[in-house]
Amino acid sequence: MRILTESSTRLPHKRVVAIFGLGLIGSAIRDALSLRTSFVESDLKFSWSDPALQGAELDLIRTTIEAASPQFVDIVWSAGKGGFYSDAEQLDAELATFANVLQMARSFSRSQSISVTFHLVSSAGGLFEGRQLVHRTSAPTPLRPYGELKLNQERELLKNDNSLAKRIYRPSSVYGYSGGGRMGLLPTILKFGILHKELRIVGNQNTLRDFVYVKDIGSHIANRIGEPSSLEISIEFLVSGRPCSIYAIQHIAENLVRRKVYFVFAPQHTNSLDITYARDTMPEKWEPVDLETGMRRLLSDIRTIN
Amino acid sequence: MRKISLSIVTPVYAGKDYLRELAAEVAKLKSSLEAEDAPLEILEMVLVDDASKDGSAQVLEELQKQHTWIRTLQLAHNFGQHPATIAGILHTSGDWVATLDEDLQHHPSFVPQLLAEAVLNECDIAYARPEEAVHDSVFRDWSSRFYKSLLVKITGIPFIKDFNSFRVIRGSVARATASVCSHETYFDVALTWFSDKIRSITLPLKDHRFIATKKSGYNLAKLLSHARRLIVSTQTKVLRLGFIIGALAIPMSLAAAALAIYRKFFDPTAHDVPGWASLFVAIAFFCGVTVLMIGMLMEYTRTILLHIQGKPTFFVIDRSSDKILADYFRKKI
Repeated sequence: MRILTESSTRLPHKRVVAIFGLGLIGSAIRDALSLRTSFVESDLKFSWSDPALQGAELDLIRTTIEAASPQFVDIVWSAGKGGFYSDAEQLDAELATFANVLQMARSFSRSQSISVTFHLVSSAGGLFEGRQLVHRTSAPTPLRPYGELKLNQERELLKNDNSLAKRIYRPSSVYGYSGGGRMGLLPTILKFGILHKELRIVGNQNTLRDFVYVKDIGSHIANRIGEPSSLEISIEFLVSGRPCSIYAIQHIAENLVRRKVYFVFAPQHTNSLDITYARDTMPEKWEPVDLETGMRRLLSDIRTIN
Repeated sequence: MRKISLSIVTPVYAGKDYLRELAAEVAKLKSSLEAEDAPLEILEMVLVDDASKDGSAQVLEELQKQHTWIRTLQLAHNFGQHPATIAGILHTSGDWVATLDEDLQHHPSFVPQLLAEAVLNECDIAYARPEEAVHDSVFRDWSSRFYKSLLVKITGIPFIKDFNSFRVIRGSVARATASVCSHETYFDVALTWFSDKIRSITLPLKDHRFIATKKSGYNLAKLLSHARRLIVSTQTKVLRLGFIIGALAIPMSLAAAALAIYRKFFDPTAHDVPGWASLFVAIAFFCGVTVLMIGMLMEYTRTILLHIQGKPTFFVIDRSSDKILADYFRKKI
């Protein structure tokens, strides 16, 4: 995990941001924050898979944050050690870790005269799998353990207490490229296109999904972190509102890499369910780039990083 | 019971006076389907504001606030009916997509009939065909019919005569087609690349706005541009004709050259001018080669054009859920 402490000494209201999970989304949030304000960054050890060590490590994290004497503390949970296909056992461990971090945030705010905001990056895909045109008021109906985990994390955060401001973000299918970690569908298509490699898609070419560019997510959450804290609860769908089939993505990708991408489809019912969102789910000030532009930027990221 | 979802797409340019009534008619259809617990539901209506100048945008905003199932899109400038329809389709997620005009010339109550025509005949696209002249204007109606008949002959695409902006399309086909369309592609021609399971039914369609005001969203320049795009999207067969002519030109020129040589040696009196035969042989041969080369270039152009326009190598369609709707429509009939 990483702690970002605002570095300017002239700031009357100092902010510290603690990011748990520096994967694709966590890194994008960190990058977007760094563009807005000057931060001093420090990495602290956090044992994701060993709950026994987490208590002491969270104490150290809290001490580090307190030492900076901040007025605002933002805890960002953008971790997802278990993926979409993880089993219940793996995800139980992740939920326990999340509970520990949340407990730290709550105890921390009780003991200090500071304003604490907890930002949870959830998953619209996990919560609404197989649903057509999800609206702002639609109730989540997860179909697999991953979705249950995200729902339980949201419930855990929303438990009745007034010590924290709570912000939940539900991004749809996020695409981006960081050079490491799990690659999503879109970078994989582009990369396989560049490499002339055959790509096996588990699903079918007409499956509809909603894609959002990770830098838009990072930028939006960074903006929300910079806003004045209040004890409101907000749940925001970070979606594009434009359903897109694998076929359409293939067409865009082939135009971008200027060659055929060799697809092999392996139909699988559970992975072929459409997930789409109404535009009324989109929060104010959320302006995702269109898919063509996003994929163009993604291709540029892939070429730059490799 | 699983419900089959339907998205309705309407491009809007000068529809301020019609939009409220259109939304009310779609709401009526939606309610009636819900009341009879039909296996068909209207999931959404996507209204695409194609930079309207008559205040339609305010009406659209108002309608979107009134109905959760209405979604609106604003295009940056006036792109035209086809691009607006394409933009709307790309924002749908229904199993089927119906496209209809803003001015109630295409009444929403006919949509189930179109859908029934498609599913009962295991088709992917169904067009509405007006039962009589739409515009009550001899020139407009005749020129439209003449142009379509001409294109059917030139292109060999029989469905052109049925092309109409009132259609229902299988969602996957509609979205795939919309995703490959460039600014010069004629949407309905591109639809035929993805499916040839196309039907049409006769419906009482009248362009009341044109009849009443003699004004149309299409002026002559727009109609000509429309016609041009239809040709550009279908002209690939004409390009192939160039190659065939070129290929035929070589043997014809060789035959003509052989005839000229034969006459030179066996009928020397046929041509009095010295050097005629050799000159004719050279011209005939090189003209044949030139025409063949041009034909080959046209064939290459055709291949590139089809690639750029996004004609698919193949496209997979799942019609398994049609049975639900087919059973429903059979019972209703």
